[in-house]
Amino acid sequence: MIMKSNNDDKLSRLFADFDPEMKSAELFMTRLENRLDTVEPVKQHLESMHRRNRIAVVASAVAGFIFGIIVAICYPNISAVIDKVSSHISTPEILPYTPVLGWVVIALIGMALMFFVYDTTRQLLQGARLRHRR
Amino acid sequence: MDRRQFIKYVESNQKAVRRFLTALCCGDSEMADDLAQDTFLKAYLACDGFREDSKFTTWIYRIAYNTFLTSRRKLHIDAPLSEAEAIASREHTDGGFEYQALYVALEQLTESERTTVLLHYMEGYNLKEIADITGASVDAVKQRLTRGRRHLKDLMNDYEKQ
Repeated sequence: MIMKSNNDDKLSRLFADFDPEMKSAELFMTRLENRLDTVEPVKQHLESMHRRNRIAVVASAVAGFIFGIIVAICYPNISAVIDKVSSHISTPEILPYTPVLGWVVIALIGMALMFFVYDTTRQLLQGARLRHRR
Repeated sequence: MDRRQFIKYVESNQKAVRRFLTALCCGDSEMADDLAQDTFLKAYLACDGFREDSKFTTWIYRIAYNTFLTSRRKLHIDAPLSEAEAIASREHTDGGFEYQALYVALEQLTESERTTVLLHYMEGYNLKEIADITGASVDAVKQRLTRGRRHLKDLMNDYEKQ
């Protein structure tokens, strides 16, 4: 234990005294600042892309929420429509699953709507950015 | 984090990061500086994702370590060099021979052992912090530290006897 501690101290001292020859800090920082200037347009482009994506996600979430509210309000009517559709289905194997299938279709419509809003929002923001640049 | 804040962080951490990378590159200060430049560049591009509740230094060292690994993969070197190769590669090390024994010994360690030993003894990180930086488990870090420490001690003793 004591030997292990001595070795530890030896290594700690070895690295604490480690002070290699390096180029000047000013030269390093100057070179770095020049490189940062070069990537600045890339960074701004990435930031603007992330901002557009965030707005598009929020818009898509709002659209999904509104769609959910509408479906909840129209629940009795939608159930009646699904029942009406079921009554026209003659295949006995599908009949028990018709209500589930009906709601799955509604969910898919909701997802498609959310994706459409997301994509449209991104494209509109992209178009606005390009018009602003001109 | 804006650019001015970022530069401020870099100015206070650049010497430690470059020192760490110099040891990790076994004395090749030019490569170490290139890696440090790449590290800070990547950090700048990703600094919007940096959470103020985590330590800037830990985050930077994580990027520095990954940058080092990427550069090594490109060179297809993933095993400790033999002593002959180590001597031949020393033409890029820093001018003085002050740390020659240390560099030769460090070159004999695997990259993971070298990183663990340097982060612990040079930078003072504990096992959990090293695990965060390297993406390994705490147990793996513990094993690497034990092995690395033992290898380094044996190699330094052998070099001193020569």
